[in-house]
Amino acid sequence: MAEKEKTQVADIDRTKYDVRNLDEDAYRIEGGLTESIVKKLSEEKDDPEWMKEFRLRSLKLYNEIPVPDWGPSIDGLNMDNIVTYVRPNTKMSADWEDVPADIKKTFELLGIPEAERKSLAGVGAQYDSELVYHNVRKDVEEQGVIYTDFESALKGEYADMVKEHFMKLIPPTMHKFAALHGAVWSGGSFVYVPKGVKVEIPLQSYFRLNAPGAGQFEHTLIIVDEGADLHFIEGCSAPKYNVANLHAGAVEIYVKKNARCRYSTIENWSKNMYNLNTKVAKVEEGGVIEWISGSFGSHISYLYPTSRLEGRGARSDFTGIAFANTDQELDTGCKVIHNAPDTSSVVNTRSISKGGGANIFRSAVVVTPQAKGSKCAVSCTSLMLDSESRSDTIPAMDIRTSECDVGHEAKIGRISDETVFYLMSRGLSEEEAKAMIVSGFADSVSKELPLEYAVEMNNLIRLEMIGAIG
Amino acid sequence: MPLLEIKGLAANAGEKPILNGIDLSVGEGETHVIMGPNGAGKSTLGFTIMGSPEYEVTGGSVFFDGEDITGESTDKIAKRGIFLSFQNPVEVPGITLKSFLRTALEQVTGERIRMRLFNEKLEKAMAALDMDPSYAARDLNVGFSGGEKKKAEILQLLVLRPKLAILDETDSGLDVDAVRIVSQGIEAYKKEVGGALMIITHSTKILESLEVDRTHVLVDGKVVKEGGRELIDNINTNGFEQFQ
Amino acid sequence: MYIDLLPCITWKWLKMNGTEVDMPLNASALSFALPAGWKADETAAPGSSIDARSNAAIEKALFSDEIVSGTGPDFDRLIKDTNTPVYKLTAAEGTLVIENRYKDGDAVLSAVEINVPDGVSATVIEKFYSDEGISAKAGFQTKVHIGKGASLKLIQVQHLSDKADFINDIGTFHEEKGSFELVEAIVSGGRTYFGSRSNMAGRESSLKLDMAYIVKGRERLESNVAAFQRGKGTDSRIDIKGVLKDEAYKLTKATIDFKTGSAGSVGSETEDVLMMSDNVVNQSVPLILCTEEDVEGVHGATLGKPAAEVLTYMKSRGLDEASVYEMMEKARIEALCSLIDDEGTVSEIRTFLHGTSEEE
Repeated sequence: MAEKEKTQVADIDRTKYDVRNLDEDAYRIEGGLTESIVKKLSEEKDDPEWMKEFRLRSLKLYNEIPVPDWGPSIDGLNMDNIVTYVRPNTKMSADWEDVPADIKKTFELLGIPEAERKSLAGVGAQYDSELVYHNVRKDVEEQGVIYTDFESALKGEYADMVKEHFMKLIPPTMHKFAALHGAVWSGGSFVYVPKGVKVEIPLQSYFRLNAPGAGQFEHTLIIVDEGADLHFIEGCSAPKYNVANLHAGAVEIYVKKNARCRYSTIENWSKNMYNLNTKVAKVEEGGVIEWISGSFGSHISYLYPTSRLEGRGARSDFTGIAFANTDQELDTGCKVIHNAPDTSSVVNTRSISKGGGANIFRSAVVVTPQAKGSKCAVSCTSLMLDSESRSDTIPAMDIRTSECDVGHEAKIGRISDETVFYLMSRGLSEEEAKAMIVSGFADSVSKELPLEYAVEMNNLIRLEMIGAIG
Repeated sequence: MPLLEIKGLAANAGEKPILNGIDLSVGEGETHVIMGPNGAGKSTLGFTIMGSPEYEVTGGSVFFDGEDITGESTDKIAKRGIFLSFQNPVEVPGITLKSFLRTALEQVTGERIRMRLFNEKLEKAMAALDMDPSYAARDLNVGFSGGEKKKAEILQLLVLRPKLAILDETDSGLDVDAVRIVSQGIEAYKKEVGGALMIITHSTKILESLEVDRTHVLVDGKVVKEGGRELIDNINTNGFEQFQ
Repeated sequence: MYIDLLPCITWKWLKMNGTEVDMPLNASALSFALPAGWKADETAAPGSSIDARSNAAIEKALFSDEIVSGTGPDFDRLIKDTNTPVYKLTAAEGTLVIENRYKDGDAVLSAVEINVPDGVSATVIEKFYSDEGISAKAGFQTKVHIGKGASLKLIQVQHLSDKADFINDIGTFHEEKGSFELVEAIVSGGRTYFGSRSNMAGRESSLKLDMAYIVKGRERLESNVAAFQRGKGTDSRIDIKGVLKDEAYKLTKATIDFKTGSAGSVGSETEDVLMMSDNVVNQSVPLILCTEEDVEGVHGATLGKPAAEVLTYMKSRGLDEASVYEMMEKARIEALCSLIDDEGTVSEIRTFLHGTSEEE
């Protein structure tokens, strides 16, 4: 009897994503982080005085706060090697024609113009640390929506609003990398949706790292005013380099009374990236925050979007998927703070571990004494594809009122042989069958995404499972 | 040359022998019935032909179209044109019946199929089975009733058009109407595809409107009696005790 | 002393990773009647060289077939440093009862190590009782080595004064098909630190842990329960049911840890907590850690008030809300009684709950 065929699962072919331009950047600050570097950065950016002081205060905190000891090791990250600020050869551009050819090529491979054509509202594509391409569609502009790069926002009409909200949800005292962000943040987006405005089409921002050793510290500040509605999509992909790369961005979202914000992310950082990103949303009465989060790339991730439910009836929905393959340790999850009556939250996560990769689902649900009548349901499911991989579930709950209903369930398991056999009996190869089962497993996230993102996510899953886009 | 030829097939589930030397052959377009008491190895026979990793072949061979397919992987066997309808179809969350069936069809035929053409095929097949079209967009078998699962199996049979269909207790647990519809589906397969059938059953309702070429009685993993249609009537009257 | 280290630590601000406890205790002798066939030996405590704050060190020790208890190595060191003797018991069929009655002013520490030889099924009942209102501190450690095909059922009943602080520590090692069943009834106590860790090295070894607690007044209960599943085809089931009243504080850590090679293993943990007052603190962190593909692990937790429809239903049968709550509260401990095949112990529990030994 013939030996049963073994599936050969090739390593992912990243050529589509790993195109990089020659490092022709005109200007770069030397590696390592000192007060003089931060001052120089601040001068370069022509910061207002308060921002310069904010940066220096953050730098001090950065040097004082210890590296976290509870998550994956970030020993491989040498801060001296991270060049904190890289400015591309191009100025802000609102016209695709003006974007330099090599940058365009990278973007085209990532599908930005295509996405643009597909009537996405605006593109704030961050190339290294500056916005290179920025275009808000007329109709969105006419609705009074502000979507601009962060540097402009700091000096423009909304300067006071920016100052009032900047790093209030993510203070530099929060953790070491929030402090780092406060010191060296650069680039990013500012979005303001006025009262009652429903933005019909998603706003979208791609950013990616280029230049060896470059860090990226973009700041995203989103304010969705009362009764307004916004879907913001962040997509990341970065070329691969040998030097450890760091992403320590910050996303702050203010969801005002009865407003709604959906924040979708598909992260596909190259597999040498340290993704230490911080995201916090504060939700007021009747408001809704929806996080859709897909983590595929990076070497190490620490990512826990946080929902602070501060007004009566505020709601948080978190839907996440993480796929950890060889040499990846993805420590992802979320935090939900119920701090007002009748708040509710749903957390639904899936993780897939393969080829020695590690997924850690980490969460915290806190229900304070004033959150009477609150509800929370957490559900996480993990799929192990082999015994070299790892999958840990670390959910913490701290409940301080009896007038609440908190449920938690977690499952870990494997793909059932029976299901694989069933699909194979209809002609699918073993790897096709497994890829299909994993795609189905990830359906909870893909069905929440706009079509082109869902397709991209399925392609990513196929790449990770089979090594080819079918 | 018969389409399917089984020679001295023996198989174990773990340590336990289930099939103890089966000889059986099915010609192109023929309809065979496998009968036998519970635990005789009927389902195991279907699973073993299909190359299930649950069973270990300990002796004998299976030939299909003259080629030895013993030990081949299940998908290759399926691509050769054998279809096994499951007694308990597996639920696959997140994958719609439609996208699954299209992928399977492309795998089996090795050709891309245009969405419009596929939709037409699927709609036609679903109509023939009296299936609610909304099932196409539902996750494969998830939350389907027993009857709907069986119909979905026959639907796949009609779309994939195999040379040999092994139907494992397809009629069990179905009400009279569902049995009628499934029977119509099987007839449609015979008529349109002209493929061979191996029907594993212990009831005879589903056989009423089919022309049966040969009946095999399985007891303790062995074929103990073979005959034509008359053997079915014999069993209906006298049961299996006579063979045990 | 650092105890109850979470087997995989998380954010510090949650204050769930482990607990610094300062509880001066002195060696204390035990007295118990040995059933027929049992043997007892008094030995010196070996202590421990494992870092109590290092999960890596603990894991390494577990892979070296050591018993690392639930509260952790610092408690082993306390036992050694206080010259507390370890009673080495060799079990035979039958039931051993160890009753501890703590008195006002006690600060006592005891340790037993039970060896259950291959094929033997034994039961040990450990009682931790005190009069109400007395002030005491106590520590107790039970380590168990379970031989091939052997089983130990350990029943622990805790009914202590709300001014009594208690560290209750368990550690087990399982050989092939060795099974450990723990029935843990915590009726009362001031500050309780509980820990239980099972080193399930043997194939097809099993753990069944049923715990029920009532924490009331200003009582505190902290538990660290872990199944370290190394062997093939191991089976762990952890079921915790509790009631929190008044200003109670409770922290439950429950961990299923599937190690590479534990193919075919299953594990489940559940916690169901009724919160009867608005001033309680209810913390839970149920971990599933996994480096093996061929396993199935589940955990579930429900925390909150009894469902409104349950209340309505029971009220419609003539019960007022207070009696519904009282019934539910007692039912959690009562449910454990069916797992205890010792009439005396069952009637003691019922007396603690209802003031009478009759089933209500």
